[in-house]
Amino acid sequence: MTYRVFPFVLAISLCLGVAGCSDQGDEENADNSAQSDTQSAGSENPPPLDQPSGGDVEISLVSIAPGGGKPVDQQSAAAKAAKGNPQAIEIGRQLFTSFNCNGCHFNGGGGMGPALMDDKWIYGSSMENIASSIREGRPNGMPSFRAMVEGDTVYKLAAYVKSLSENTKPRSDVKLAEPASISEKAAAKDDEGEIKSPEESGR
Amino acid sequence: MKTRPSSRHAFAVLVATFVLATSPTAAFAQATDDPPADDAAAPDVPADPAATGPQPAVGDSVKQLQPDSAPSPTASDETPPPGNEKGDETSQDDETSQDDEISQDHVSSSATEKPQIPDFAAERTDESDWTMPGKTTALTRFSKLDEINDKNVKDLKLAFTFSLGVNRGQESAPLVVNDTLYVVTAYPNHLYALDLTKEGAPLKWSYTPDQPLAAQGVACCDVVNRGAVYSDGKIIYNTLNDTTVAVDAETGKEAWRTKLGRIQEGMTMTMAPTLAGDKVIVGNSGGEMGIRGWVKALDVATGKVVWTANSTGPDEDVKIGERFKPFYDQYKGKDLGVKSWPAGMWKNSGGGAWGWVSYDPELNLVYTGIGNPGPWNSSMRPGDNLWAAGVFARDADTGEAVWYYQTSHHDWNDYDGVNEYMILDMEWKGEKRKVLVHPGRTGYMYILDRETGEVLSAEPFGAITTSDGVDLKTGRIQWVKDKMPDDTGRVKKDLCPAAPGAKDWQPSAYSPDTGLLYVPHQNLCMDLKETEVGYIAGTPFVGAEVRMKPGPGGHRGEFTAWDLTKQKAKWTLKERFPVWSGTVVTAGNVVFYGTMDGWFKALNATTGDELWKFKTSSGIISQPTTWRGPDGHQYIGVLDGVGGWSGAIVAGNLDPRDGTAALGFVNAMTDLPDYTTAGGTLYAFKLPD
Repeated sequence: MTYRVFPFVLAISLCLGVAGCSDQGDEENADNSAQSDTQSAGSENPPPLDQPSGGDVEISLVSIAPGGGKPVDQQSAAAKAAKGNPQAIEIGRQLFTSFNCNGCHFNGGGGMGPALMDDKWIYGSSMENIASSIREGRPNGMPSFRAMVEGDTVYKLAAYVKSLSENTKPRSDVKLAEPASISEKAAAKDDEGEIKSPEESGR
Repeated sequence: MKTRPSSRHAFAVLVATFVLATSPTAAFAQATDDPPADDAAAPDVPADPAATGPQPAVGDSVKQLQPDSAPSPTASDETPPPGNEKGDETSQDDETSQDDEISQDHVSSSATEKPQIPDFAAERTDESDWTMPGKTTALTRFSKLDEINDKNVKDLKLAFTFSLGVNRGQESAPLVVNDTLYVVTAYPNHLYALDLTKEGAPLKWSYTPDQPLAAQGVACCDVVNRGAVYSDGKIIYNTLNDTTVAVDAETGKEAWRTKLGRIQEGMTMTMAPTLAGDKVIVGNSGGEMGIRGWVKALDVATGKVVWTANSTGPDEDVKIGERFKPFYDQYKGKDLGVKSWPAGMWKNSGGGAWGWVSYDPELNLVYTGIGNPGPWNSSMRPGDNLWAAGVFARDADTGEAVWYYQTSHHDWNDYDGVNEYMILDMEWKGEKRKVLVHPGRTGYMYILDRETGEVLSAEPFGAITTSDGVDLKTGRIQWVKDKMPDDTGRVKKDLCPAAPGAKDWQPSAYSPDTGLLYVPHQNLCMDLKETEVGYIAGTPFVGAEVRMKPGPGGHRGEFTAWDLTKQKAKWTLKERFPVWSGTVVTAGNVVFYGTMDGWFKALNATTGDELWKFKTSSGIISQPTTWRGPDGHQYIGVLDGVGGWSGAIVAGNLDPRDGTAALGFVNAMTDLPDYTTAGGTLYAFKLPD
């Protein structure tokens, strides 16, 4: 994977003439569907990506570029094919368990690894960003799964990961679980000794 | 995952094999050469050979007891210096009500004395310093300091604070040695030394071990650290990336470091070392990552590994030999650490030793709790799964096993055996016995003979649906069969206690004055569904989907004062959240603990009445300690900084919409972010001048 570095001045000058340079200001920018397979704000237009895997995809982690230009933002054909595709998502879901992704991220809520169902993407929210996180790992402990994902497999995983953050209910709907319903005998130790319920602290 | 489980399982194995074959240097290169094979997934629940044994009437007699004629707060007021005298009064009160409960023969009716802290530890309880998390290697956490007492604690004031610079769960204990306070943080495991001789206790030096960021990715339950130990001019502790370091207490320079494991195998270290003579005893974490657990003894002077004892595998690895004389028959036989597992599974079996180690210098034995077997999916590992989920007594010099007891055979609920095994001496049926007291994750308060490993008593202190008592003839817990996972693969509901147990790592304290054990713990149950899982080195090896919930009554935490002589609770305080902090009790008749919503509290140790509380910035899950400062006055110290497994929702910013997050703990803590934010600060309190 390569991250292209642009000459600062060139990026500025290009920006002057490119309508898409307006500040989109959010990380979803990197995943804007308006971005075609080949679109980028680079100093050159990378060749169209028609290979199944995204080995040469160039993708930035951030949505800002010096001088108001746009960061490199490609999407491979494989990523495009998998994104939002129910079959790909279903295969991705199975892979998510087979690779023990669920051991750290559970069903999107996170644990050892960060939550995936929220709208925060430390390493970018685009299909290519997610695929890159899976392939290469990330420094705070995300392992590199490069040896385990062949061909377009990584995009199916990415499609599932991306789907986790879609159509989730609002957090305000979450209610604390009801207490367990168990027999009196099993709970009997609660009758032992003196029970004190201190004044509810906090609020 | 509902479809074609066998083929998917085979796929996972194939994946592991593929990795091994193609990428020997990748993070997953440690894929086992003997991955959990299909035959290991046999769903049969093993027959319980002890099931026919007599069932003790656990819980039946205790629950009809009327509350104690406990000394009232006024009674304690009448005793000018709170101390032993009052304790003796309590004892007599206890005797009279004792007559009602003879129905249970293992509850001694002739007990006349409160359990005592053995001499080797008792003689250190009046020291000004606090040099190890448990106060002494008996892990009693009792201090004879009594300047702060049940009458003046209400005036306690903040003396100084110090930011730890890390907003993750702070589970460690402030140590005080020679007028310097030492505190270890969660990852990246900074060690700070504060100068107590100067105003405001300014920073003297700090030390940060060299370790990779990636270590954070294999710590199951937040990147915690449970503290350091002082010995021989050095502060010794474990870092997350499997290294024990010794730092010169005076200068802050690293004296030695010993690398003991690899994060690439999913192994971390979070426990506090225990000092055993000229050695420190350390153990690993990673029972959710398919590690193979071990305990090691390191030379305090050099850091060299003196001995290593694995938790599973052949006898030679486990250091089982001629000296091994377990009390119960099920632990007798060759290589049970291999044979009680499906073929080869002992190699990725968990059994980390990530909790407390106690040490009796007179018997020269260390007591090392062993964690849960892996994976959590118990159907994949029929058998007793020795020597996971229990305790070894080992010769401190050689590591040789002397006895073993398993608190949770064929563990199916993550009931680690790592909670403290506190060393006390007590009268039992008219006989003086050397005992270990172990508030277990299973929900039972175990009293074990520490010379033989015999279970003297196991009475419930939490709500229990997963078992029906402990058979004192065989030592085996009596599992409730219809609660156990079966081949229907259905969700098993309302398993109590939940995976963290009725009590987790958070350490208890014992006061010889009151005869009470102070137990911070939780009241949680869970729903559990087993799922397929294949071993891939460096990734979780769990195979269960858990959703925890509040236990009966709806409160999630309890602080229980347990009468060891009567084997029942004297009083219990309910808390909204799990009480995940440790506790300390003093001769001033005061006991301290903290809550996850950020209250540091002092109670009357006899009555449980709340005497004082202080609101901290973040929730508390650390171990409070007490010391006498260079000004001659007593201090109490504690860290805030919510996190750990229970507080992962805050420390890791997890999403409450997924109840299975953080191994299902999030389901029971969805409201914690409404009460506290992440933090990390040391607080020290003293009385006004």
